[in-house]
Amino acid sequence: MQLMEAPTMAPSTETLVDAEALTKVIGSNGTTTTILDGVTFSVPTRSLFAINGPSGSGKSTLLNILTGIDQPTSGRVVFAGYEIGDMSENQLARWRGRNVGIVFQFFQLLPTLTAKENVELALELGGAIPRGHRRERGLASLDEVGMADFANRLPSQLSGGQQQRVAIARALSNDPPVLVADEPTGNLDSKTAHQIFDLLQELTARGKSVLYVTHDRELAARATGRIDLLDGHVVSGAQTGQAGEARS
Amino acid sequence: MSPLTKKAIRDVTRRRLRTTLTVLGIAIGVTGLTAISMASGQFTTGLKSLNDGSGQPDIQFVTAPTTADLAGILSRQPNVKAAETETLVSTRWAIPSGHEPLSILGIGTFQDRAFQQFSLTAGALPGPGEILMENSDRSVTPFKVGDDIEVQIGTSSRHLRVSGISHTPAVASPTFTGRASGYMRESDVRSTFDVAGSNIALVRLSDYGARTATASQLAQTLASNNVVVLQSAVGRDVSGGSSGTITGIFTIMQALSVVALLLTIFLLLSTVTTLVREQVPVIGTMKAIGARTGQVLRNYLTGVAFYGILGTALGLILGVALGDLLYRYFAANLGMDESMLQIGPSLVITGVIVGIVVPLAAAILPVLMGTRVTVRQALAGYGLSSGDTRRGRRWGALMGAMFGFMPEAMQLGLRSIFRRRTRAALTVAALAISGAAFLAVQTTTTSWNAVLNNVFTSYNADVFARFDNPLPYSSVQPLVAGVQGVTQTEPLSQTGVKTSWGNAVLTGVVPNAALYHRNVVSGQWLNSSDQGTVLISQDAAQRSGLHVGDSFDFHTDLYSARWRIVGIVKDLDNPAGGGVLLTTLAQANAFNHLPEDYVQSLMIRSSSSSQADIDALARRVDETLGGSAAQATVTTSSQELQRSQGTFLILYALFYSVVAIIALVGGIGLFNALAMGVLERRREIGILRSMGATGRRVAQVFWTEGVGLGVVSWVIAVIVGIPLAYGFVQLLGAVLLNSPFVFNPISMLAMLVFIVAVASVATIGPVWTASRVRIADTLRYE
Repeated sequence: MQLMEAPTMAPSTETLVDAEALTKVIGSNGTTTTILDGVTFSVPTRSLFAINGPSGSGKSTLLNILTGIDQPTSGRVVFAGYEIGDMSENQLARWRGRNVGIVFQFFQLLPTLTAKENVELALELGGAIPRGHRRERGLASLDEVGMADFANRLPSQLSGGQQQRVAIARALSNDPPVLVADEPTGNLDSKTAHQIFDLLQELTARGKSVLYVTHDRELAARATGRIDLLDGHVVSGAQTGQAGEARS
Repeated sequence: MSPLTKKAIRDVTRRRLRTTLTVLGIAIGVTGLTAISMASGQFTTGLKSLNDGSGQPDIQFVTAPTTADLAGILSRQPNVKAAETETLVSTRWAIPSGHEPLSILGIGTFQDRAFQQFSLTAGALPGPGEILMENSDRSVTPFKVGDDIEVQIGTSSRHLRVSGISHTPAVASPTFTGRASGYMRESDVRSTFDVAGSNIALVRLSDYGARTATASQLAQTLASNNVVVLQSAVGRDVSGGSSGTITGIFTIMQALSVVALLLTIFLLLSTVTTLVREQVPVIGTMKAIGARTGQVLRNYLTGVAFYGILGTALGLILGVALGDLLYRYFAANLGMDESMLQIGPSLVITGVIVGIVVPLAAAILPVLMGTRVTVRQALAGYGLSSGDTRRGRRWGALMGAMFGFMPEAMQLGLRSIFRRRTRAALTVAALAISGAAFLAVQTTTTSWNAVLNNVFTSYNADVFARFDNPLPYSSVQPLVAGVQGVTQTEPLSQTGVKTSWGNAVLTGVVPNAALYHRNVVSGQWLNSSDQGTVLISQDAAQRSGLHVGDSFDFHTDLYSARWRIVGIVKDLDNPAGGGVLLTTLAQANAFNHLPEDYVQSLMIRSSSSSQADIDALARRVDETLGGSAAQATVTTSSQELQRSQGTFLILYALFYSVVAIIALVGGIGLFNALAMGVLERRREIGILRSMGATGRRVAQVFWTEGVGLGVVSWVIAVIVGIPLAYGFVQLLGAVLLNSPFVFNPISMLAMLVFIVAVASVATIGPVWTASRVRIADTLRYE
């Protein structure tokens, strides 16, 4: 796959995510640490949106809060029209299964299932696709990412880049409107990293929104929208094409 | 199959050794309970069928030979539905290895026999000069239809042709009874063996419930017709009273099997806890991509069910096979139909409940606790955590302070013992139960041996001759006294009687007995003029609460009496029953309505104390009596002791087998725990290896941890095991053999060796794995 530039399509004016005054404080042994401090921003739909910052800036925590994996100490998140703070753990899990495709830095494929079975597992948990169509849909998702020929291999039999492609296929299988990726290329060599990022970038052309965390400035620069975090604060944030500005 | 189900099965099967051991543990639990339930249930059913259907008489009398029409006399009595007479002779069957006692029953008419019907399995009914042999007699020596056998009675021998082979329900194998059996025509028995008349009377009643009263009345009727009753049996219990003991053994084995099952649950909990902990990142991923708690819970319970299904299937197969063996052992003992074995649906249902439902129920809580981890918690630390906790660090500091003198590798092992508290607690509990069970069984054998070794200390005799039927002392004493090496003989009678506190032995000796230890602890010894007086053993006094001067009632099926206690004597005979009632021989014979000078046994003193000489003397006495009309079983005192102990050897073997099973399960639990520890600490191992630790040093860490867990378990086992051992001895005392609680402190040392051995064996696998870990594999992120 060839390195591609950021798409030139006009960014959407609709909002995918509204984060308002998000704060996360953790404490142990009598001491407290503020991970996020009053973070407020919006993510438009059909964008390639980056959350950038150095290690310890709170970007992964922010991503976890946006997807319901973690809870903020204060603030609210409206994600694709859902106030996720009101949901229980099980409701969040179901919501994620159908509405959010998650891609992890370390792929997080289930080691005892083949590539195809990992994708079918997501279909089973999402529940949106009838049982009789899951096999076909799974293979189609793998084909989308160029991994159809590796459908019957276990993760241990795949390279890092191949595993990440399978993870992306798993994330796409339920056709969620948004993909969320936490350092999706962090564990890959540079060439593979660019290939994977190109794949993610392609998805926005197909109408998906991709929200990703990165500490890589080069990858952050390819986003159509971004915020920069430092020590839990938004220090800058701009959307190429300027449909709106992130509020710090 | 859905991906979730595939995942569940592959999660449990990818670690083959752990799966094998866990399945084996479940199978052991299911095997034990299945085998014992099956054997005991079948035994109870078979015994009832045998009692009801084998044509056992309701009452049986053994009399002196008589020509009186006993059948006619008895048939005319109230409550008698049917009566028959037979003639029984005790002979000696010449076999290649010597002689085997052979009881030959002479039957009037083989057709329409009302009692103890047998089936002809080969050949034909006997004619003149022929004998029908029981099929089980072939365990003594092989023979077939048409063969000639030689039998000896008195000084004469007879050759009889085997006309056929029979099978009689409720006739036990000679292997257990020490006596073969066969049938002849009654007229042939009398003419061949010169027997004056019939000596067996069999009675069937109209009202079985009135058997005891009817038996007494019939005994009086026989006495009034000048028929001497030598022995009697009332009731249809073909087991001769041993069914209660056998049932008690089954009950105890079931209790021990439940303990083994409990340990199996511990093992499963340890495995499930380990599995779930191992899968924390996977659980987080599943929840992140849409799995609800219920789906995750079902996924891991599917894995538990998989263990259970495999273990149950294996356990049922092994359990049925073992139950079959157990049942056949006891069935052969009592002459039961060994082909009656049946496998019913209840057996399978019990196995399923024990092997699948119980593990699932036990696993719900730990699986629920483990899968409740949130996505954030699960994904927070990638890979397995080392389990470092504050309490764990305190334990580590304590170990460091106490054992600072040890090599670092061993200190590291000791510090890690409680790294995972729950898992360590389960492992320690399983090992402690193993140790406590070992201690309980060890103490039981010590306590029982203390009793069994002293059962015959009341007797000064070297040889005992027990006659098949009572006979005049004057007819046998000269015979035996004339045997080379005999210095003294004394008569002895022993009759089983029922008391309010249990089955006692009424023992009759002469007042001036020298071959019986007159160990009177209170009161006075016997007098020849005594009437209605008795001494009781200390065991009987303890059980009954009676004292010198008290009177009490006792009875057999036919006779009863109320006698006064004149003394208490130290006599350890009949330890499994109600002790001993000691009286004069004359009083014992009067109670049994026997002539005054009749004896049931002879006590014989040897001129030499050498065991070889005593054994030779026993053989000479046996030959002398075998060549006379007095048929007897001759044994030495050491043989009597061995017989008494031998009865319990099978129990010891059973108990130690169960202990071994319990230890196996405990060892498997420790293996699992250590194996998981190796897995969790792979990075730590890699760091140790990169710093220069050899494989042996790494192995030492885990071996020390394993043995350390074993020692901790030993401490708990000692605390728990001693009262448990006491309780076990008391429980067995109520069911089998009452004995004092004899605790040998060396048992604690033996238990320590036992636990350390189990722990050491259990560490072999994990230690080997730990020593072969490659540094690069452990330091790379997965």
